Amino acid sequence: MSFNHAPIAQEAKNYINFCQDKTALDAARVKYLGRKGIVAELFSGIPALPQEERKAYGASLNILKQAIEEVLHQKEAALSASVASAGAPGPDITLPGKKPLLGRQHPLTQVETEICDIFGRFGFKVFEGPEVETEYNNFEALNIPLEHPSRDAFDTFYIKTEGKEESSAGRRLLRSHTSPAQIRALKTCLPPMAVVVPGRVYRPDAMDASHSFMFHQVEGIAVSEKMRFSDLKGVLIAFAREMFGEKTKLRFRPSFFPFTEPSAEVDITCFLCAGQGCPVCKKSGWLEILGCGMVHPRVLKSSGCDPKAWRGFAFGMGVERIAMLKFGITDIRMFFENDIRFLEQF
Amino acid sequence: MRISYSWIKEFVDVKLSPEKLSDRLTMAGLSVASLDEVDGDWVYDIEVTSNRPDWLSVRGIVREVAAITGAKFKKARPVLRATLAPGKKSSQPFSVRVSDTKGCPLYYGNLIVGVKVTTSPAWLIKRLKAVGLRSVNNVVDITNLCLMEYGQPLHAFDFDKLEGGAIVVRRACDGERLILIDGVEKKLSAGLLVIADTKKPVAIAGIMGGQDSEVSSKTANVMLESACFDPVAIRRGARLLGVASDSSYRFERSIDLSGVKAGLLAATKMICDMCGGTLAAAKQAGTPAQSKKQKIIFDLKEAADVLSIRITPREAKSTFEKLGFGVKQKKPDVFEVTAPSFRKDIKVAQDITEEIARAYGYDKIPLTTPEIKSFSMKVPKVQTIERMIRRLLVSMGLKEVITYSLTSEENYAKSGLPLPQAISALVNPLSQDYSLLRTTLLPALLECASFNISRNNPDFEIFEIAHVFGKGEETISVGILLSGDKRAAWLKDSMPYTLYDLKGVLESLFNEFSIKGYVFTPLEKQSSLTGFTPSQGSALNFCLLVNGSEAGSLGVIPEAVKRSWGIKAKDDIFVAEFSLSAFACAADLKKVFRPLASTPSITRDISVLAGNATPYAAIKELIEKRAAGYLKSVALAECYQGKEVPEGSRGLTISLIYGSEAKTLTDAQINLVHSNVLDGLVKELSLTLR
Repeated sequence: MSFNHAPIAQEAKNYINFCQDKTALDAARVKYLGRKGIVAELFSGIPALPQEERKAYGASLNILKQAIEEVLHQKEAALSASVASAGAPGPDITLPGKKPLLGRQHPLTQVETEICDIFGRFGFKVFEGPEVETEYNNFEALNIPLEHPSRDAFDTFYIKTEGKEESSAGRRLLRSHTSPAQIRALKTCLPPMAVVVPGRVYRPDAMDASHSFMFHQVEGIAVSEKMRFSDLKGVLIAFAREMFGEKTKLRFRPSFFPFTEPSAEVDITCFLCAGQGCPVCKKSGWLEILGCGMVHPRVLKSSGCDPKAWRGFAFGMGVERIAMLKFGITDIRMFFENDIRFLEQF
Repeated sequence: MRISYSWIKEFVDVKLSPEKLSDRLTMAGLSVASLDEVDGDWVYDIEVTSNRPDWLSVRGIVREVAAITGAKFKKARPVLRATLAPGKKSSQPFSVRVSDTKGCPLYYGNLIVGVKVTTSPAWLIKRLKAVGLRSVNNVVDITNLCLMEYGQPLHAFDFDKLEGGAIVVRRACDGERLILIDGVEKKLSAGLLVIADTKKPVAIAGIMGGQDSEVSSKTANVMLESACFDPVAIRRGARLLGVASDSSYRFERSIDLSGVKAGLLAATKMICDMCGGTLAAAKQAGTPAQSKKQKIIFDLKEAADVLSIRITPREAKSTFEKLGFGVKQKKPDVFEVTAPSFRKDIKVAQDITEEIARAYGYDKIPLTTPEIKSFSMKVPKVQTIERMIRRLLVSMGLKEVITYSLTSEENYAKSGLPLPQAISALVNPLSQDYSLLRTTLLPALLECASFNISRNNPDFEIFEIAHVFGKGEETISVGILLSGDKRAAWLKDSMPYTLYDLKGVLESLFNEFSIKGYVFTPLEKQSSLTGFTPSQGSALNFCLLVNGSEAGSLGVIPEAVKRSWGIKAKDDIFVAEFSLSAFACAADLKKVFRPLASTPSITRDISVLAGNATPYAAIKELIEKRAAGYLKSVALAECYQGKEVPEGSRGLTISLIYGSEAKTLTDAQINLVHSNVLDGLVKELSLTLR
């Protein structure tokens, strides 16, 4: 008996490939591989064969069966592919996705955290102070005497006290800068130390597009035996490059703060015009970004540190200003209106 | 301080272009805010820091320009001086008396007679205009010109208006009044330093002159004042009156005592030369005695180390000399430095270090990396938890808001909150809207809600973490507000927020920090946090207890409160506020791995009909009690109220998940426990099984 099943295989292949849909393919499967199908019929002929031929014949039938299965499988894949491309049932991937609702940190918190995290990588820890401060910590301890014009830069909200007027040291106010936390930090963790202090500060400025009676600062102070002005420059340039980009340049200008000496005002190259001059940097190519200097010996003294043994540097920056520059926001009041469409942008 | 390029060039031979000079000034600490071309000249607007009053004059700035550019002074311009005209001694009575020598340590009065007051020559008008001063008349313009050049404020009086020909520097008496040259009448309070004649005040010392005695076209005889007034007295006076002038600005910052006479002589000479006057009498009260000059020991090595620069003693010495400092070399590296009288800012060695740094150039100081040693600082738990809560709330889809810490009585009233007795008020608020230190975040959250809803955005979920203020204590509060729908991309999927969404946010926080002892309960007595009593129709009608004490409150905003905030949205608004410190006390930040259950669990549902009077908590408690040891968790599948159930009751479907960590439970065991649970629900709580 012939073991050549090639004609059957060929006929099956043609038949299967002729099928146009899944129903026809199922019928073809039944026709060839069903319980009463052609292959089953051939298998049923095995017992009639002589003993010595049975094994070889069975093996050849198995090959035939596999070949047909393979063709069926291929055709099935081809059919389902064409069904998918025709787009009949199944998902319409062009329908909008169901986006999970995202929360947001306030843009000021984001910028404040970014600043603190950068200094954190340099070894600074985050220290927090109260918003209601004593007049002593806000002024005298920072070498800002009473009735001195250097106080003009720090107009301050005072808090009513009941009964008799307290002494200056005891008068309470809303801190007009984060610098009083320098005093607290130095008293809390003895040098060597390095901390950044983020937080809200208050000044009685009439509100307009660039002024707010409440705003945020990040203050930094680092004290060790041998801290240098060049260390301050090194830390701030490293900060500025992380915050504003690798190409950022810094400009240190002599300035005056009662609590630092020498003092400097720091400008960065305007990142909006790359220092070419634009309306934001008032055509100067520079943006004033922070104030800094070596901690004044009187400040060290009022914090209980011996200025002969310790040296430090300090710096402070406005979070709103940096956020406004970074995000291109032109009105400071937007931060405190909390329009949901504003908050969702950051 | 405004100054023109041509005025500077009059003194020093600057070779730099106006722009280049502007950069040099800025880098030397004379920050140039603007440089503008005005009538063919260049005008610098320089921001002078409060420690450098010596830069509030042309001569002061020129001194600095010479020091930083090395430009030579032009042939020294003679210091102008006028001399008493011989034989022209005035017969009129003229006297100067200072009754408060602390307030006025030095006073010069020059009587110039026969003055013709007219308009100023064009060059003078132009020069003043360039620096932002308006021309008045030749005499006044000369005083202003000398003020700008020498930094010494001057004032010219119409001598014939001075009663008794007298100048008396004294403190004002209560009730005295004076009309100032700007036409505004001021009531003078006792203690204010004034210039008076024998009868009345004629000027407020160092701040502004009086209208009546000002120099006008009718003036023939001028009394020219050049004086030194106490900075604190002037500062207080200017603040008290709300009047500031170029004079008060300079006196507040303190003037150079040695310049008082220079300004006087220059102006006298100019008035004599340009206005046809004659100096008839010169009076003086007080002495121009300088306080003893302070000697500062300056260690160059220390300064070079701080700045990380190399500088020779010779270079340092040359810097000091350029700046006009007296200097004695004590040791090769140690100097004894004496600052000139106009440098009152130089007090300690660090001030001199800054001068060295300025001369060297801040930009040339190298960059180094400090060694920041690790140090111990205990971060308060509240600080850690604040950051964690903020991140968790954001991960739940909430947006953080930042609102003003200052509030008003009206905001409390609008929010239906009583004004706490412990609230702190500002002495000097900007307005009544921001006059109190808030004790709660609720009004500000409502204001945010009102703001957004009125802009057609009724759906949002927001929170704030901020300080709140009690009497003498400052704590951190967390406020949450949910409004409108939980938004979904496919709009039909949107669901309105419910109180349970808000409660869920809080429960998630509790779970995250492993806080177990929390209870939500209706507010029954006055809240110790908000001071609120339940009868007042509060927004916060539920109370949150943590380990038995009140930690916060939550609830639905009543319609009346919504109305008072102008909120027109129909949907309910939910708010919660809790104390971060109460939360931090109970929080457990330790995370310990629990082995994952390997035994199977079996779920059985219970459907019961429960009266509204039976709280879910009671049902859950009973289930947990009766199935103790067999129960993994209890979950609410549904709470149904509507047509299918009788009024006043709810259909609850509760899923019980049975299982044991230790062993696999059999069906028979669970059946036994489950029927015990069902039995309890019927017998103990009288529920109907459905």
